[in-house]
Amino acid sequence: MSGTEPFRISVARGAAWSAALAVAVALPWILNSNYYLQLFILAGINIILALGLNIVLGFTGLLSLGHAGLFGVGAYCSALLVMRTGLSFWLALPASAAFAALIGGLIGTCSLRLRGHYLAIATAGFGIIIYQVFLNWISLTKGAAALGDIPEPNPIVIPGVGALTFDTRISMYFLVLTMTAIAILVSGRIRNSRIGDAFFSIREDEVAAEVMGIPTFRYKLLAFVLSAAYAGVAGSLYAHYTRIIAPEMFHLFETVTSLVMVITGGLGSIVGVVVASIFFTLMPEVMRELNDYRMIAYGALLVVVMIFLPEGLAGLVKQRFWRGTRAGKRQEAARGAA
Amino acid sequence: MGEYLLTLLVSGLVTGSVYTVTALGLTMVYGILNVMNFAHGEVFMVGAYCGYFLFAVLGMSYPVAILGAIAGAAATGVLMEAVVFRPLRNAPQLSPLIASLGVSIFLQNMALLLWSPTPRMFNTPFVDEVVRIFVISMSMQRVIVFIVCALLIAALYFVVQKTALGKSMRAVALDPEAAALMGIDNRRVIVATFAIGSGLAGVAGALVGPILIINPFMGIPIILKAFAIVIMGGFGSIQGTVVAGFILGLAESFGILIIPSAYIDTIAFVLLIGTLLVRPTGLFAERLEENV
Repeated sequence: MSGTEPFRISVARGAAWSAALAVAVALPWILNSNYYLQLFILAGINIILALGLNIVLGFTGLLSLGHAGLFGVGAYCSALLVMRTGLSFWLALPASAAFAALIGGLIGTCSLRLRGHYLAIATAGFGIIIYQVFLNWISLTKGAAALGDIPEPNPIVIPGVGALTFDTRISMYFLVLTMTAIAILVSGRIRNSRIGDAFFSIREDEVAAEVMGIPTFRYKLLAFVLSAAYAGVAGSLYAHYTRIIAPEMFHLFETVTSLVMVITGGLGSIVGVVVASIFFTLMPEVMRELNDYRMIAYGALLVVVMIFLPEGLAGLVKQRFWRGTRAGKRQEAARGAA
Repeated sequence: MGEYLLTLLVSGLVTGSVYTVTALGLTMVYGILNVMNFAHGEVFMVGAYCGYFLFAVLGMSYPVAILGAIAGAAATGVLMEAVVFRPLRNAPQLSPLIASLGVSIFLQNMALLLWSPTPRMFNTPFVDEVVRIFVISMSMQRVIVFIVCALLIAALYFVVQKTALGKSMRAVALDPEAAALMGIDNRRVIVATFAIGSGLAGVAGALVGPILIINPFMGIPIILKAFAIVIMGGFGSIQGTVVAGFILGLAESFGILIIPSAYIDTIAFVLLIGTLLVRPTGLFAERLEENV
């Protein structure tokens, strides 16, 4: 955590993030292709989704498999608010985040007494129930026929300057980029706050955390709620970007995609999750030439990554570089002594 | 009305027996390795395809087809153990879970490539044969499914409780290190567990082949319900799995009376969540789960 890391590394970290942001801003002109730009928009949405899961799984150590359902809650909530009530996208976005957070809180209240695999399957159960509701509440969601014609985000009118419209890929890209940047910042803030400390202490040893006076249930619930809010934001952006949503997109197995991004990134590592999310969004497309073999290769890749990169990218980087630095050696020594 | 209720009861028992046999394989693997194996659903799918090819394509007899399905499924399970789970024996708990999801995706798409997405059906001579039990009539295939499943459950219980192999399985599940010190070959026991558990899923697949439609993704709904059963029963508990499996079969069958049929597939999870709220360790928990 940055509180304990040397100043030199903090500066390097800040510089790296700024460079990444600069590249991200210049990306539409670097790529100069609508097709690839669209992939990066999806990558941004996947980053937000994965960062949400990272709060629960990476920071707090709780395996929740209902994340795709909450993503769907955000998507349907936002789309239906805009289409049925004529609410502006800019209000529907926070509203769907709040609604997803509420549902996430309900799931948490019911399931957080459970641990480990029990929690995983219970949350998976909630994910499936949500999916079944999308599928079967046809008067609301149109079921398997998909909910189409979702309007794009409303233009922002700036008096004297003009209107900022969101009818092009580039404008959607910058909207998603902004939200992704905010999601990363907020995630970093949470991690370095007292709340983050509580999350990490629960991950390391829940009983010890409880003994130290941390109200673990309340913090676990908070992690669920925050994570669900992230999923809600991602869902809203997704609905108004693709403009058509169907229950299949929010099936339990879609949680796997986010899960893979968080685990491959390295549990709790924000940079790792961002890099892994971009990688796993682009990779299936890059492997497009493999056609029928694509998903076979994807499945095999998951196995290989788990066998050879058990601690994810962050673990690999730490092993290769962090251990070489003086701070890394000090930490190793401290761990050895303890 | 009474007849209708009896029909529901019987069909619930038949479905429950299939769920139970499938879930038992998961329970065994979980008990011994603490691994949630999502690819178990694909083992079920492989069993169904083996049954289909042997019986409907190659024209072998139904019992031979079932034996073939057992062999095919067991081989899949053993291979999976050797290639994926063995290298991950000492990895963090999440790794085997994600890897099993990888295997699941791999096998689904392999099946899609090899056997095409075309749904397959096969009819055994027993499907059209109607038997009357008391006042209700049902197809012979369902009777066979129930009898075979019941025999398998009894056989598994006997193996685990009474044989040397079963004893070593329980020992390894309880404490692998102590078991190894007592001269038990852990690796052999684990391979045997995978073979038996996968074989069970294979039989289930071959048995329901004539009732369900066979396709590369048929394992997904089954695996999710099987997990619900395993957890409801208490992870690693064989009795619990049997009880929970039949409860689910009956609940789905009688659920028709109360809720719209489109929501039948949610019953498993409603039951699961309800059970866990009352008994967080499941019905027959043998031990409390450690902190992950």
